[in-house]
Amino acid sequence: MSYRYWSAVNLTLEPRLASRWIINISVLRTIISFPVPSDCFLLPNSQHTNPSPPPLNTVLSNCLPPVLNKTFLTKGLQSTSSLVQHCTALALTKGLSKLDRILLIFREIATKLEEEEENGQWLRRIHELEIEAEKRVPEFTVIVGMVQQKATGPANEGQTIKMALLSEAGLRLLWFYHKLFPRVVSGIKFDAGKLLLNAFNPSVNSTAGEEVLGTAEVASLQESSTGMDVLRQLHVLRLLKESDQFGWLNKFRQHPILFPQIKTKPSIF
Amino acid sequence: MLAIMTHRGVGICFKDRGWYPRETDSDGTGIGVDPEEDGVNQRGKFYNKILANVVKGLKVNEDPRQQELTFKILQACPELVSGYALYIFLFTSLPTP
Repeated sequence: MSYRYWSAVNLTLEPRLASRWIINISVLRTIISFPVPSDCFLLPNSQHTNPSPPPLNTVLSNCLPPVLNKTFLTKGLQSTSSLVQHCTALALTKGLSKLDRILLIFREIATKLEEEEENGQWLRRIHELEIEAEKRVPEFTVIVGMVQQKATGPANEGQTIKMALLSEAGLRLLWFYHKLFPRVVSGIKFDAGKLLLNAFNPSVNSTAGEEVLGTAEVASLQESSTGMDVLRQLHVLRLLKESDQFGWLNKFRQHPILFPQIKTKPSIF
Repeated sequence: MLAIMTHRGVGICFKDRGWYPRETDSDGTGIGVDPEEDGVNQRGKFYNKILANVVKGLKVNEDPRQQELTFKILQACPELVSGYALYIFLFTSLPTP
């Protein structure tokens, strides 16, 4: 169980469509989701906060374990199997969500200890965590590619739900990237406004769908994907809140739904 | 099993220091332990060596009851999580025949 031993074992674990792999990544996801043990940040038998943060490797292993490295995650997110893509995206989402919680707790502790930028140990650990986490996650373009991928098979209920799930998971990851790795995002030309337009268009397009499906079937598909559409919109709005590259004024002047909303309630943007 | 393995300070579930390594200093405050020292001296030191071996033997991906026990042990002993997350992949993710 020692960290040293596991680090020395170097095995390649290909993401693949196998029941064992899917179970294992689900178990890993559950373990990553465990709450942060905030009690351990206090000194033993005391209510005072420990002036030293826990070791970097331990903290990272609890949110982005070494097995969830850049190669593994990139392969999973670019897999030909949608199920493998989705499982990998969920695992990465859990890891980034945990990292977000850890950074929040560490910042609170640094504030409580009145640490200074130059010599604060907790602040230094936060900085190190951000840098190391950046190295472990896939490139931003991989996530963008996942969000922008198109359905390949015939338009049916299964295909629609599959694409809606993948799109939702991808947008959630984009939001986390904007929140946690703003430097990575700012280095890449990315039109966040396009996402907004897509998110406020339903994932099932009735005019295109009616060519191959009946009206009733299109209505049924739209109903199935409505919940996911709401989530997608939520992720995009959160993402835009974090983004500094987004200019909405000209882009949405002609949009029948968005522009009136922006005009009447600019504060939500 | 749940009673003696999943409650901190009861049975064979010893209180650990969470994400901090087992303390080696004499005064027991943890002050003076170099947080940067992830190296040889800090690795492999657990309060819960017995439970570390128990979770390795549990079939987490085959039996729901063993899975539940594993999760409860790991939640009670945060010091074991970082090693275990890697372990399950290295030794149970082999291709299905």
